Parts: sequence; structure tokens; C-alpha cells
Amino acid sequence: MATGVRVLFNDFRVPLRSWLTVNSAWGQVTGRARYSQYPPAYIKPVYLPAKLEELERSGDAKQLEYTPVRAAYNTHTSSVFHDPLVRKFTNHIMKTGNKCLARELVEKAFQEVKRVQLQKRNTAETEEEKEAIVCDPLKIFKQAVENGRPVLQLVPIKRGGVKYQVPVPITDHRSYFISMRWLKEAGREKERTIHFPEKLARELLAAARNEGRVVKKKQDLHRQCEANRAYAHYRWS
Amino acid sequence: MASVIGQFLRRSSTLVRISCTVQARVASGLPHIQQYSSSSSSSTEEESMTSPEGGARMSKSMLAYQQRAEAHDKFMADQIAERTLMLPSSTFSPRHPSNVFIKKKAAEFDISGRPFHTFFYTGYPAYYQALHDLGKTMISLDQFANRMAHLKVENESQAFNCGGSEWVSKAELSNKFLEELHDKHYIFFIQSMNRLIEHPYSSRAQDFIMRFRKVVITTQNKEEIPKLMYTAEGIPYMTGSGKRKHTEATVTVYGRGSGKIEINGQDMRFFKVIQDREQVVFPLQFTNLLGKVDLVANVTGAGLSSSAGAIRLATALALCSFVDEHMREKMRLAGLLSKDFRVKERKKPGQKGARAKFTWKKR
Repeated sequence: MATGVRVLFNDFRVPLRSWLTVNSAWGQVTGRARYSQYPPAYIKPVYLPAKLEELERSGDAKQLEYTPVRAAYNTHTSSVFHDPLVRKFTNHIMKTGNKCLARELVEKAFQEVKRVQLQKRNTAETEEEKEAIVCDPLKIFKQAVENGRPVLQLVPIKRGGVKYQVPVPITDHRSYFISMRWLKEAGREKERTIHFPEKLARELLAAARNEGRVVKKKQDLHRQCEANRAYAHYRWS
Repeated sequence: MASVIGQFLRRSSTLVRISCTVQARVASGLPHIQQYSSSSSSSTEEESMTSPEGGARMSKSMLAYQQRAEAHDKFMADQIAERTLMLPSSTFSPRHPSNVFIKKKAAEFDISGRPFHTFFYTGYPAYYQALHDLGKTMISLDQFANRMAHLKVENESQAFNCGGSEWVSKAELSNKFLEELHDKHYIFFIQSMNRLIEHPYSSRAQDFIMRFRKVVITTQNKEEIPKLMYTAEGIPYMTGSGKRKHTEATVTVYGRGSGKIEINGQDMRFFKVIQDREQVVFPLQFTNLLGKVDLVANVTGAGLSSSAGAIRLATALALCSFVDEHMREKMRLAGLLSKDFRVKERKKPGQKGARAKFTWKKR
């Protein structure tokens, strides 16, 4: 499943192609921030090397030749260690703007994951078993987030004075958010003697194996949605 | 009004002074001026003691009156000339009639009542004429493409690059044709024009296309890239400066280096936070020059994060001279060459922060 991980969080919420056609055909960009410091013609920077290459291959870079570009954020880099999903997760973990600490915690958790996996690999007996163990914490993290993503969500809707828990499909973006929130919460629910990064590492490993609290939470939610399927029509009626 | 003043003037001996106060109202229009000197043209020094017409002697009081009246007229004329300059109507030049009256179509019939234009009975002759022209252009482009294919000429795509411009709006197109177009007309027209642009030889129809496009960005931001300078030892170097929030940075990038980085006399450990270090290295890494050039940076101002941002911009600008056009464009798209305009928003009185409000309790 690791190969099927979709690359999201690439700062292009709207696909570039459709954005361009909107821009060229009607001369208007919809859905921009109201209080942006930049004039509306400015587009978001494309800082990931892979994304840039894709732009050049598709010929969209030629179209953007005349478009002014906003400055890259100070969290953007073209480094191989940079990953938009990890960056997002770090921001979820951050409390009161202490990004240094948040980043440290995530990195420690990744180290722990690596350590555990390497240990496993070293104790494995046959070559095949050794090959099967993934040691890349980034892959494990992505797999864990992917496994924790719910498809539905319960929304309270009032009908005739009674609140019904109505199952509603959710967007990709929100499902990523919920999955990461559950991971973070699972990391924080722990005994006093265990530190957050260790706990988070365990949860990541468990979720990547389709086990653990996060996956259980997802399954519970799906079960509840299934139980409440009779109310599903309240979504539109 | 003027006659009242006239009576008043005849009685008053201090007429000039008083007329000053009255005159602001009088000055609102030239036709209101009344000439008090009975013959302003002929009253000169020589015939001061004679009446203008018959040469009869004038009384002293009459003469004095005449002089005062002349002085008054002169004063009034000066004042009016002065005031009219200050009137709102004189602050802008008169508008051209074409701006006032909406453009209308000329007569579309000849004397016998036959319409000039073939498409007159479509109701939108100019619009359909444009579509007709579009079709003809398309056919000619196709023919050209066929000829090229027949001659087996293979060259690069000559599709028109319409960057920096956009289609005119519906209102502007209506104004161009002097016809009230509907949405369906406009959408169909733009769709058809888009198809023309997609044609592999559409750059041949550039003039036709640009008739219906307006330029959005006039100049591509391609400033002169300064040429590399050389030290006495022959090492290439370039200096760039950048700003971020309240920080300014000047960075000198030396070529043929070993990747040394010096910030305010210290090494990379000037920045404690890893994110800031990443920022300093970002342009070097992006251009694959990490470890090949040396950096000497000077930062002034407050804030470590913004210092890193300023150094990043300064380095990127300096590196422009080291890299080729293609890489420069990539750097621009990555947002390395643009200044970050964002600054802290001020706190507002009556609220907790820039946007945050105090908690509100009814009682």
C-alpha cells in the first residue's frame, strides 16, 4: 500500500491546470485570501523540485512566465528531508508556536521508529524477512496516516427537535487532518514514565501495521456510521 | 444684485474696500459684472477735466467718482480672473464629447433602405463578422499546417504564448462591437478563440488574437542581471541585498569556494534553530551550488527568523549572476527571487490583538 500513498499537501489545493484555465478564460482568480498582502495576480511558489519538473514537462511553466510569484515561506525548502505532510504534522503537534520543540519531538519519534525497525531487521533470521522490514520512518509515517484516514464522519443534524448523528462523507483534506489528529492524541494518552516521542513512535508503527488506537478509532467511527445509516437521508432532506 | 451694488457704490465713499466683500458673490459669473465707469475706454489723463462725449467741464466730485469707478472695474476684472482659476469648473479641462456621449453605430442602411452589412439581419453583424474572420484565420492556419506537413518541415511548436494577457471581458467585447452581447455569445466567442490559440501555428494569427486580449502585466520582471565581478586573485564574486520584515542583509557570494558560510563574523551556528539554517542554505541547494561557493553575510535588524529570510533573498539575488537563464526562471517560480511583503499586523485599540477580540460577556 506504501506505493499507493497519494501526495497531498503540496500547497496547490486547486490543481494548477484548472486554476490556469480559470485565470486565462475569465480573467479572475476565485477563492483568494481577502486580506492577502500580495496583489491577486501573484501565485503561490512551486518550491518542490519534483513539482517544478512536472510544471516544465507539462508546459505550464511557459504559461507562468509572466505571472509574479509570492516569496516562499520560511518553512519551505527544496531539501530531500522536506516533506509537506510531515511539515503539516509538526504544525499539528506544535503548542503555542513552539515549532522548534514540535520538530524535535517529531524527529525523535522518527528516530525511535528507525531504531525499532533496525533492531527488528537485525534480529530477523532469513534474508527474505530482513528485506520485508521497512526501515524508512517517512514511509511508515505516511502508511500510518493513510491507514488512519476515515471515510465518513458523524455530524449532528437537528430534525423535529431531536439531534441525529448523521453519517456524512468527508473530503480528502479533512480525512488527513483527522488521521493526524488521532495520531497526535494517541501519542499524548500515555503513562507518566513514557515520553511523547516514544509513544508516538509506537503508535506510528502500530498504525502502519493496521493496528493500534488510531485504526481502532477509525473502525469504531465507521461502525457507528454503519449503525446510523438509517439517518443518512437527513443530510439532504 | 448688481444694481443694488451700483446704488450702494454711488453713495459710498469707501466703495473699493466694501466691494471686496461683496465681490465674492458677484464673481461667480462674468455676465454679472457691471461697468461703473461710464466710458472706460476714453478716460485718460489728458481729458480728465472734460466729459467724455462733449468736452464739457466735469465737476470735481464727478471726476472723483469716475476715477473710483474705473479703479473698481479694474479691481473687479482682476479679482474675477483670479477667482475663476479657483472655481471647480476650471480645475479640469472640458471633457471630450466622445467621453460624454456613448458611441453609437453609424447608419447601417443606404438611401434605398438596403443594409450595408451582409450579416445585418443576424442582429449582431460585427460579432458574427468577427466569428467569420476567426473561421477564415483557422482555415488559413490549417492550410499552412498542411503545406508544412507536405513539405515535411518539422519545426518547433509555433503556438501563440498568450502569457501576460487575458481575454477582454464581456462588457469590453460588447463595447468593441457596439452590440449588446449575451453570455452565450461571449462564451462561444472565447471558446472559439481558445481553440484558435491551441492551433500549433497560432502565433501566425497573433495580431488577430491580440485584438481581443488585453495586456495584464506589461513587463516581465527581467531586470539586468549584473555581471560577475572578480577579486584581485581572480575569484568571481557577486553581492546581493535583501530585506525581510525589519531586517536587512548584504551577502557576498564567492565562486570557486568550499562551502564556507560566514554570518556577522560567525559561522552557521549564528542561527540556533535548524529551520533558519535550512533557509540560509535553501538557494544554494536549489541551484546545486552547495559546497561550491562561499557566503559572507552581514545582517542588521531584529529577529533571527527574519534574518534568515533576508539572507536567503540576498543570496538568491547574488546567485542570479552565477546561474543560467533557465535556473533563474526556476528560482523565480520557487519564490526565491521575490521579496516577502508580509509584516506583522498592528494591534488595534479596543481589541486584544490585530484581529482577536476581548471576551465579551453580556452581564
